[in-house]
Amino acid sequence: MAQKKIELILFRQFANYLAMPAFLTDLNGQLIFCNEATEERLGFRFSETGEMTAQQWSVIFALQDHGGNPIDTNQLPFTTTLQQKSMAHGQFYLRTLKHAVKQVKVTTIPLLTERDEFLAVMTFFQEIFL
Amino acid sequence: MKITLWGTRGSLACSGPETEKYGGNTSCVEVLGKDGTLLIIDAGTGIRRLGIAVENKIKQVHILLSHLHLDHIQGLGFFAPLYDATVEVHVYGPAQTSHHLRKSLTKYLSPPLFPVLLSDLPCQLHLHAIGNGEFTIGQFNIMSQFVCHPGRTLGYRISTSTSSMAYLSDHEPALATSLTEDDTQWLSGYALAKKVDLLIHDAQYTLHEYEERIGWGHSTIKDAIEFARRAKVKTLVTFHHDPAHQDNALDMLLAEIIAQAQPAFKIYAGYEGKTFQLP
Repeated sequence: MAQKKIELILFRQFANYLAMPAFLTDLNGQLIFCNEATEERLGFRFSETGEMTAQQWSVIFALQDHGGNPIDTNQLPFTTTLQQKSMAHGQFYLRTLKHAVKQVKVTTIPLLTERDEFLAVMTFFQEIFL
Repeated sequence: MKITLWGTRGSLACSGPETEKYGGNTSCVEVLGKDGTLLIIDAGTGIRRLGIAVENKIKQVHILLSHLHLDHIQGLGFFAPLYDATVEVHVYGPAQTSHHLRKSLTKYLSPPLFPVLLSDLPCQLHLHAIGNGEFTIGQFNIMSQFVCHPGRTLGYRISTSTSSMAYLSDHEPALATSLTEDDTQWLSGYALAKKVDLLIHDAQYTLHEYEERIGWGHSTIKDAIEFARRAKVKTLVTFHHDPAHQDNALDMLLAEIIAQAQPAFKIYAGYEGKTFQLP
């Protein structure tokens, strides 16, 4: 597999030091990295699952709205960031691989580099405890 | 291609009997093609003597700057061909996020730090702000890529149809990756160094020194060897020696680490005047 660009390598390093969940998806929606805090919250090990397509992770984590309706990937903050190269925010429910349903707040940020090159989408999320 | 080391010291030029063997000049490497194409990687103080060696013999030269820290540009103003109106000088350096390469270089090449303005140099000067990419100069195919080091810093891979070398003078891949465990796709500089015939790599610190200087952008000798092993290079040249490392200390450090690591490739500690001939 081709070597990642330095901005992605450094984000990965930075995220590995954070206690807050953070992950990276490429411009096709493929999950290419997530930190330990994400693994812990979502109940899986990235080293075991490997990279996942947007279709795969949206189904695996059963993303749904407040009314329990499945959320299409087109409605996710990630898609807004991808299409508009801008930050986006959202709130929805997901199911972890340990079968717990969690409400989360999500912020997605475009990773832009030299000459406005769009490399990936950085996602940070936080559980909402009611 | 013929590769000659003109400056192998890191951070600060240091002359004296205790650095006589490896040299005290800061980073500068000459890469000369069979077709006469002349590349110079970095313009540390070593470039002054190189300038004298090529003065009145060249009409075109290409200087590839890895980054703009002073030890990599300090010799630029003392490079004789810059003062020859018949010479075409191309300087390539890392594109900055907020201003052009010219503005960054002018900070140094202007009063009060230097008496001559960049714009007053007699040579035919062309500046090229570059980033991740590939381009051709004469017989050389050059790949440039940003690497792990504070400030925007490029590493280079220079190839011909028959051989290749990589230059990662200021590079701290261990900051971002576990050198021994992580997949190479997450290894800074890997694409540049992969299977090259000759890798010139930062090896500034001992393990003990590194513990207090993590994040400064440099590698231990041990990490340089591990990086070279992961990249499957044929020969490693340790480079950017710490100014505090005297000749006898460098000899001992390298011998000790080679005995421990027992690498399957050749290792040389870079010294001024050392040449390598690649097919």
